[in-house]
Amino acid sequence: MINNRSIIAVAVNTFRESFRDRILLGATFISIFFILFSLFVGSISLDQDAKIIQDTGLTVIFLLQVFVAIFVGASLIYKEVERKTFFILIPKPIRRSEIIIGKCMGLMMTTIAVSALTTVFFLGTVLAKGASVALAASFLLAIALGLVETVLIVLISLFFSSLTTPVLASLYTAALFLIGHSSDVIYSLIRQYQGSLARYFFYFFYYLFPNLEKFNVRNDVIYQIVPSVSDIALMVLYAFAYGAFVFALTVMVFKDREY
Amino acid sequence: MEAIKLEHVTKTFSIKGRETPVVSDLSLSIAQGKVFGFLGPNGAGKTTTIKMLVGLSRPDDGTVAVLEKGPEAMETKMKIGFMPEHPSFYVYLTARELLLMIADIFKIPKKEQKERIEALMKKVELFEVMDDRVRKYSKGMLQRLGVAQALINNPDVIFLDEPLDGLDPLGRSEIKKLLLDLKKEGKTIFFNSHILSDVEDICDEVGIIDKGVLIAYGTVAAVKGESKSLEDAFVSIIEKNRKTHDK
Amino acid sequence: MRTLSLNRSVVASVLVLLVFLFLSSWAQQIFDVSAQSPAAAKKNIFLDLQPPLLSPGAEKNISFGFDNALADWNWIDLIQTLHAWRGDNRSVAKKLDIITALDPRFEYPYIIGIFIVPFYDRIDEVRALGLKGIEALPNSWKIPFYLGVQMSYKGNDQEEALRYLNIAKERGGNPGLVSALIAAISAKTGKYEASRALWQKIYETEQDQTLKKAAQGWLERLDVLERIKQEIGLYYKTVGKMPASMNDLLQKGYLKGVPEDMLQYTYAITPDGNLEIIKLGPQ
Repeated sequence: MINNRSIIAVAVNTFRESFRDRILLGATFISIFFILFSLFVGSISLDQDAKIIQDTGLTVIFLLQVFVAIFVGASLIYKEVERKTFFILIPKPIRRSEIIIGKCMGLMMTTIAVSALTTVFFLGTVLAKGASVALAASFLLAIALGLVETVLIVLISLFFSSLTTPVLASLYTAALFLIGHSSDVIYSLIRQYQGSLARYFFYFFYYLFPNLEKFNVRNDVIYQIVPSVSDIALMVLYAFAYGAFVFALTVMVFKDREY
Repeated sequence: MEAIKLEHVTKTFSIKGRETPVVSDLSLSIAQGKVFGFLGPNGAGKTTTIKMLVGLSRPDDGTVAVLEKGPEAMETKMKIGFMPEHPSFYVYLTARELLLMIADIFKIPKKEQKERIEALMKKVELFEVMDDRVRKYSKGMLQRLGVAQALINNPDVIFLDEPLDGLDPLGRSEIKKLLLDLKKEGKTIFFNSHILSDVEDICDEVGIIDKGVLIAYGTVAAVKGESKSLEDAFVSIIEKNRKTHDK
Repeated sequence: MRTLSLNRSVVASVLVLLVFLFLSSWAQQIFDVSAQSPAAAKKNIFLDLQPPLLSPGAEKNISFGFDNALADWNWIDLIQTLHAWRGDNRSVAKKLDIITALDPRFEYPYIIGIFIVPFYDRIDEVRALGLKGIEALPNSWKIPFYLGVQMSYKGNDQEEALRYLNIAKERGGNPGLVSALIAAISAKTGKYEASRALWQKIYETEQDQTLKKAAQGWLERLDVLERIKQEIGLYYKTVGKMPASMNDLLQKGYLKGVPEDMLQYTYAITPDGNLEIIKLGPQ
C-alpha cells in the first residue's frame, strides 16, 4: 500500500532543498532578463516586437523549466548517495518507489515555483503590449503543456541520476531531450531507408525514445492555433504511459541497489 | 524472541578485481533489552555488518533477522532506529523540518509530532538550534541530530554506528546517559565503537571483529578476562589473533 | 557494491552506445543535406546546394521544436544586414527561405522579400517566395497583392500578375486599391505608367513605414528610368536609330551620368525604347 504521507513528506523536503539552492534564483533572474531584452529587440526587428516578445518569452520559460529538470534532477539522487543522506532515509519505513515519486513531485514543485515568477512577468508584458486575454490564456496553456513535458524529463533525469554521476546524467538526459524533439528527423530517416533492415532499427528508436515534440504548442499558439481537448487528452495520456515506463525502469534499478 | 540474530553471514566485495570477504561467517545472537558493543579495528567489517542489519545492503550468504523478521520488511523498519557513521543531512533544511519529514514517514499523528520532536531535541541538547539550517551545525551537533532522528519513532531496537565519535567529553557523557535511560526502558541497542572506555561503561555484551571474522564474543567481564581494562584486552586479543593467522 | 557497479556500467555503456549510434547517423543526414554532395542532394527533398548557410531543411532538422524563436533570430539577423546589402541576392533570398521554412506563418518576411528582392531582378525567387506565402497564409491578402504588383512590373506576364491580384481581391484585400490596380494593368498602358500608378497608390495608402519607404524608392527609380526613356526617345529622333547601350547615351551626351545605385547593373535597350536590366554587375 502506497503511503501518501511519506511521498508528500519527501516531496516537500525535496522542494525545500532544491528551491533554497541559489542557482535557481540566478536562473530565474536570467530568464526575466531575457524577456526584458526581447522588449529591446523588438525595436530592431521592423516592429515585429509583439511576435518576438511572445516567442522569446515562451521559449525562455520552457528552457528554464527544462534546465531545472535536467540539472537539478541529475544530481538529486547522486547527491544523496554521495552525501549519504540516503543512509538516513532508506532504513526508514518508506518504499523505494515512494522515494522516487516523492523526489519527482518535489522537483516538479520546484520547477513550477521557479517558472511561476517568470510566467507572471511574461504574461503581464504580453498583455501590456496589447495581446488579448484569450491569447494570454493560450500562452498559459502552452506553458502548462511544457510542464507536462517537464515531468517526463524529470523522470528521465531521475533515472539517469540513479545510475551515474550528475555530469553524465545531465548529458544523457539532454541528449534524450534533443532526440525527443527530433521525431520528424527520425521519421525522415525511416523514409530514407525504406526497404532496408536499417528501417526497423530506426522504427525501434522512434518508439523507444520519448516523443517530446508532441507537447510543443508554442509555435502554434502564437498564431492562435490552440490544441483541442482531445489533443490535450492524448498528450497527457502519452505522458502518463511513457512516464510510467521510465518510472518502472527507475524502480527496477533502484530496488536492488546496495549502499 | 531474539532481538538480533545473525547466522553465518558472509559479505564479499570485489576489491581491485579480487573477491575479498569483508564479513566471514559471522554469527551473533542478542537478546532483547541488552546493550551490545561491536568492536574492531578500522576496516574490520563493523559498518558493513550494521548496514546489513538495517537493510542498506544484503548478505551474500547467511541470514539476518531483527525481531525475527528480515531487516527490509516494513514492519521491522517501523520498529528500529538507525544512525549512520558521520551522519549528513539535507543542508538547506532545518532540524525541525527534517524530523517532521521522518515523523511523517513513521506515520506519527500530526498532533503528537511537535511535542515528540521538541522533547527529543531537548534530550540531545539541540532544542535551541532546531530551527537553524543544518548546514550551520558543528560536527558534534550533527552527531546529536543523528541520534535524535534514530529515536523519533520510539524504536525497540536501535542501531548506532560510532554514536560518540566527534563529541566532547560533556557530549559523550550526555549521550551515554541517554543510552542507559533507553536500556532501562527495555530497548535493545547495538552499536559500533572504537572508544573502548565508553563501551565498558554501558555495554552488557561485546563482540570483537577483525578482518571480517568474529574473534571474541561474550559479556564484558568474560571478554575482559584478566586484563586491567577492556582496551588492554582488546589489543591483546587482536594481536594474538593476527599472530595465529600469520603463522 | 559489486552488483551495483555491474548494473550501472552495463546499462550506462549500452545507453551511451545507443545514443551515439543514433546521433551519428542523424549527423550524417544533416551532413548530406548541407554539404555539396550531389548524390545525397538527389535523395533529399529539402536540399539547396549552395553554402555558406545551412539549407532550410537542415535548419529545420536541428530546430528541436524552437522553430519560431529560431525564425525570429534569423529575421533579426537579416534586418541588420539588409541595409548594407548591395545585391548579393543569394544570401537574402536564402535567409528568407530559412525563415519561412522554420515559421511558414510569419507573414512579414514574405512581404519584405517581395518588396525588396525583385529590385535585383531575381523574379523566379520572388515568385517562389510569394507562392509559398500565399499557400502558408490563406488569410493574407497582402502577399498575393504585392506579388501581383511586382509581377506586373518586373515580370513580363501581366496575366500572371492579374491572377495574383484576383486572389488578393478574393481574400478581402483593400477593395479600392486592388481594383484600381487591376484596372490599371488591364488597360495595358505603358509599363512605367502602370507601375507608377501602383507604387503611388501603395505609397499613399500603406501605413507601415518600411513598406512606404520602399514604395518611395520604387517611385524614385521610376523617375530615373522615365528620364532615361525620354533620352532614348530623343536619341532616336536625332540619330535615327536606337542606342545600342547606355554607353551610347553617355558618350553622345544625352546622359550626363548614371545614378550611382544603377551602376551595378548592365542595361540593354529594347526595340521599343525601354531600358532593361540584363545582368548584375557593371558592363
